[in-house]
Amino acid sequence: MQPTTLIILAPALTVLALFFLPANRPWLIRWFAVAGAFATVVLSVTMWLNYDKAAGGWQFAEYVPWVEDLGIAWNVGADGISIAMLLLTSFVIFAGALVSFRIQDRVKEFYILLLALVTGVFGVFANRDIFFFYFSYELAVIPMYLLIGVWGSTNKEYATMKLTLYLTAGAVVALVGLLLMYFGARDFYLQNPSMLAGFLSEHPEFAGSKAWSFNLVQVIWAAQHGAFSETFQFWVFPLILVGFAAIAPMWPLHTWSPGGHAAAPSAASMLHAGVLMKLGSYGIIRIGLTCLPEGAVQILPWVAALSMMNIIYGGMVAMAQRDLKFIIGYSSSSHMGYVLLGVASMNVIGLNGAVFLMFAHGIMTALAFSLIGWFYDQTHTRELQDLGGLIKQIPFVGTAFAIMAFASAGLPGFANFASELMVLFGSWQATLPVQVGAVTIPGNPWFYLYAILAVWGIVITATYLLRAVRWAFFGPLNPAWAGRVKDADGFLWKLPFVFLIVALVAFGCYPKMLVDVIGTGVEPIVDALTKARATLLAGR
Amino acid sequence: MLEANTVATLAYIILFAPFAAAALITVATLRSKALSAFLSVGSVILGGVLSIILLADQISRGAGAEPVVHQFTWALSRGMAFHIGVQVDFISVLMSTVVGVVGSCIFVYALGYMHGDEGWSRFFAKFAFFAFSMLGITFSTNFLQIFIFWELVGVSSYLLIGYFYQKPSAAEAGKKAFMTNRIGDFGMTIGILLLFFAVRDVFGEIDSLSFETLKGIFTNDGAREQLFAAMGWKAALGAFLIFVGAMGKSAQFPLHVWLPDAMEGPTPVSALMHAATMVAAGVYMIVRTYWLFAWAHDALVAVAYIGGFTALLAASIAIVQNDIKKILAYSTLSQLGYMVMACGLVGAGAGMFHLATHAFFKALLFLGAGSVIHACHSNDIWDMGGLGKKMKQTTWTFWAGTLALAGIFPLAGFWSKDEILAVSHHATALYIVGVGVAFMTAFYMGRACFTVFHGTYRGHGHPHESPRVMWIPLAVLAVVSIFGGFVGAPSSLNPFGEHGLQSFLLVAYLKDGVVHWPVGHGHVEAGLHLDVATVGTLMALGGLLLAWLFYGKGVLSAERVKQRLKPLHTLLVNKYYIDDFYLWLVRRVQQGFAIAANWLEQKIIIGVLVNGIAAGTKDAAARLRKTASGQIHSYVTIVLAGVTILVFWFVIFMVSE
Repeated sequence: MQPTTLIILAPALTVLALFFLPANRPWLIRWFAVAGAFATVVLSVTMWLNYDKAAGGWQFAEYVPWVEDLGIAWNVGADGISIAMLLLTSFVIFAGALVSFRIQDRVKEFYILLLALVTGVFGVFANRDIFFFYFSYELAVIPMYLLIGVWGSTNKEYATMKLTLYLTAGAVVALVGLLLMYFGARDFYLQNPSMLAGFLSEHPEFAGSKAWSFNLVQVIWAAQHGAFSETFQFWVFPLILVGFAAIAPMWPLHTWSPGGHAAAPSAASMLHAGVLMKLGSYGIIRIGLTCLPEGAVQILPWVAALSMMNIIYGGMVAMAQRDLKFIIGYSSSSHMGYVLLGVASMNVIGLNGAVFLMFAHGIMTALAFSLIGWFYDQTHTRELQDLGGLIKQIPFVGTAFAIMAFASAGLPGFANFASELMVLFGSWQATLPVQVGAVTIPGNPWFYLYAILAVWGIVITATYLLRAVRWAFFGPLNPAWAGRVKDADGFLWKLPFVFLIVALVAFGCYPKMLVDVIGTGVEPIVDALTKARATLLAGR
Repeated sequence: MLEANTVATLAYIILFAPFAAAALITVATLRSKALSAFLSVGSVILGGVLSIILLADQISRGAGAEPVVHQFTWALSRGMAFHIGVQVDFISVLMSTVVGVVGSCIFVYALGYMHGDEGWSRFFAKFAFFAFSMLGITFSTNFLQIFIFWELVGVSSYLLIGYFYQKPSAAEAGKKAFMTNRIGDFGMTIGILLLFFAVRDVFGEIDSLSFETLKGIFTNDGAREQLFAAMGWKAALGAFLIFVGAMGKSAQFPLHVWLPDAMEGPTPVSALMHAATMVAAGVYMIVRTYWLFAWAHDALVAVAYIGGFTALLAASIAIVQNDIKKILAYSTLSQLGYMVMACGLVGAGAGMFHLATHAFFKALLFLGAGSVIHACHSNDIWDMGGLGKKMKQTTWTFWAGTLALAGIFPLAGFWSKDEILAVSHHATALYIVGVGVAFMTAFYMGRACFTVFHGTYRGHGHPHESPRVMWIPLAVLAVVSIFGGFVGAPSSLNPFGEHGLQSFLLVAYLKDGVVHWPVGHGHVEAGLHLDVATVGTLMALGGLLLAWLFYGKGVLSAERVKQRLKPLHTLLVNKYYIDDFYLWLVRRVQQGFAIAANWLEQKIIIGVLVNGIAAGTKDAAARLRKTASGQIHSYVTIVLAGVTILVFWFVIFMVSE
């Protein structure tokens, strides 16, 4: 059995086991959950280290036909982009499971939902079957509803309802697009039997496949061989984009996210901002860019423009917030703007940066929410003016929070810096022409403006984060907290924070070790986009 | 001469020793004060010693030797690679020697100054981390690396300014420093992007961040003209934007406001970072990338005038300051302006030389001020007085620093200031600024010295000399401040040869040492320039004399002048209201935008759009629900109505057929 299958099974089996554990033994349940989460860390790190960069493409692949009449199969695998996302998810769930040791209420149900959610996330990132991709996506969304609704705080009913409606509505829009692609590919293979033969001879591992198939590899192959007309792509790409952008979240579909963060319990916020949002951008890249390049290249310039709203407007709104979770919440939508900008730059360095930033931002934001949760549980307030001087009282958590703020503000030494820098380079590169054979694709001068605004966005980020650190942690200690707030003491409580910081620093000091892997996944996508741009230009 | 590999290895050791110390302290030795201090101080002293070895090696290589470059790939995307490594040549080694030697003195001094501080280990870890970041800038091989360490220097500055984090003013000052530098970095980032892609656009996928690659292009006439033809006005813009980064770090107007506030940090921090090394990073970068500035004339003119203006502005504010550290801070601003002005006037060698001498005597002055503050428990010079008799070591060393800064022959400052005035000689306006600043410098330093060390003690308690661990570094720095300038003297005894340090510096930027500047020729002979030296010395003596008349002898009354020039005095005390203007920008304008954005978000996007759709759906549902009344007769009525409509429609349709 391949590690891709195992990484989906590990949390699923843990969920199953948790059902049979006695609810009155919370520590047994906690350790069991952590063990399950740790298994995914081992698996994802193994895959990352063993990924053959020279070969590239889908690796650790497994294909077992299931419902042959519809073309549904257990079809898993990982490319460079998936590897980064699997690493991210496993790191966040491991830290999240540890942080959740503080949960006292309905421990068993909490961990069951948490691990069910993460099963869904792994299911998306490791899947090559569109049906299971969608199924896993929904599986990830529903437990979040309960996690916020039951264990949440701050206006939780409103927040969880809004979140679920947005994500489900987005998913339905995407589903329409996915089904159109499924049927489009089916018609293509039915009308051109030679194409099906061609596909099967290139991909013997899928022997026995019919024309109708949810196999992503088969749909991509069809797309590469002209199954989807330009018009088709132009109309279907927006469905995929909007469907997944709701969770990414792209402006103006972002409003579910800050409130959702604020309402969610720590571990749910961590997974929500750290991982769930990345499902959106992953979906856009994996499905939209790969299968519908000719649609993507026409729409993406508009995405770049909207990403400015995320970066600048999101940053400005964050600057006006007083609640720490809302600050980080709006900051997340601001950072995701850089991901969208990197994607929209349509070149290798920009997309590499976008995927790397998905990883970096996921870890960073998980760290932020876990730290805020730590003192919120004790102070019951996250308002900046009610905190003050906390670093005196909780030096470890305070220092870790300052480190998080530096990472988020794009300081070198953290993965966030390296990735945002790559996005900036990508954005500027998008202004240069690209030569493909006889066709010269002109540069897009708007990207000068986007790059400059994106650099300014880093200044904005530093403004509100340093202000937050200044008011929450520096200055005189608010006497209300003197002696009343406990620091993270002891190995077990420090472990999740240290783990996440080490991950940020390790990949930040030597980004090459992850970017090399990501690049193998990104390059074919960029090649497809470039080809699509050249084709469109030549056709006009 | 050492092997290239050895040279690179030594550079890596100099660079990473402080990093290792900082990491070890953080991870392992936080509880052991002695061990933490040993690691931190030891790592910097090691760096200083190795730097001197490398400097000797550079001298043996002679002027204009090829740099030793070693680097590895940091991140890679198809067609684009980012590198990190070390570049060892005369400029970087000179800088690392300054950092190492001045740093060693200050680290040792800190052992005494920080005695009994509860955050001792934390302090030494951060201090060592700063040394690492600064050396990273020093040995950078390319623009990306210099930017990385640039930011790290910024963060260590933030941490150390805000070291007394419970003091609101310290916490604010740290934030202000970081944010002001961020604005400088905004320009620098865009400048780097602009230059990087412009070069690629012309020459293809080459490593166009690398200093050596770029230098090769810029010093080759054909390649440079090809590039400039393609870039047009963007060439000067790119150079200027990179200079904006230097404006942030080296605190040039209008980004100078953070430096005086940065004095909230412990005094050794002010000495090392905000006087000697970190603030010189901007000047260092200009010198490092001088092949770019030398050909971007328009940018160079801006550099010269911004430097000159900063020098004048800061010197005038320094005259009315009462906090001894603030006087030195504004003096630092003014001297940095001097260096930048020299760079802008094609005197990068003079700027770099002044950077080196200034590092020694300004560090000395700050440490002396720290010693005084330590003794009097006050920063205000009017709480001091008559310390000359009580603190002999501090007094003579402080005076040595003052005279060096004022530029009195034959102290270190004389030689480097002479170079700067010499290069500005052909630009009359800036020459007058330079001479005027020399006068003002001597005046405000004289004012401080006479007030602090002479007359009678006006403070509380009984000040006494600082411990030996503090004054010995003072003495070492004083000796260098007195004799260090001779490296620029034209003498056969000079270790740098007959033409002095200058010959190494000039050759390092421009092969022929000549660059044309719109206002005249930039070529200056190394050595003594009698005409400007005379003017400079007279100005310095005049300033000291005037200060003596006011504050030493007391025959002139400062109070009377103050009354006479009330508006000017108010303007100076309020630092030309620049800080207030920025505060208004941040509090009103920027926050105004933020509040407006938030209003849009909460009221319009969430309030009207999102909740509006939700309310609309709910409302529609509530209305539709009424139709599901559960009463058979109403359903039957609706069904009948529907059937009737269908029948009518069908009939009309059929008829029209």
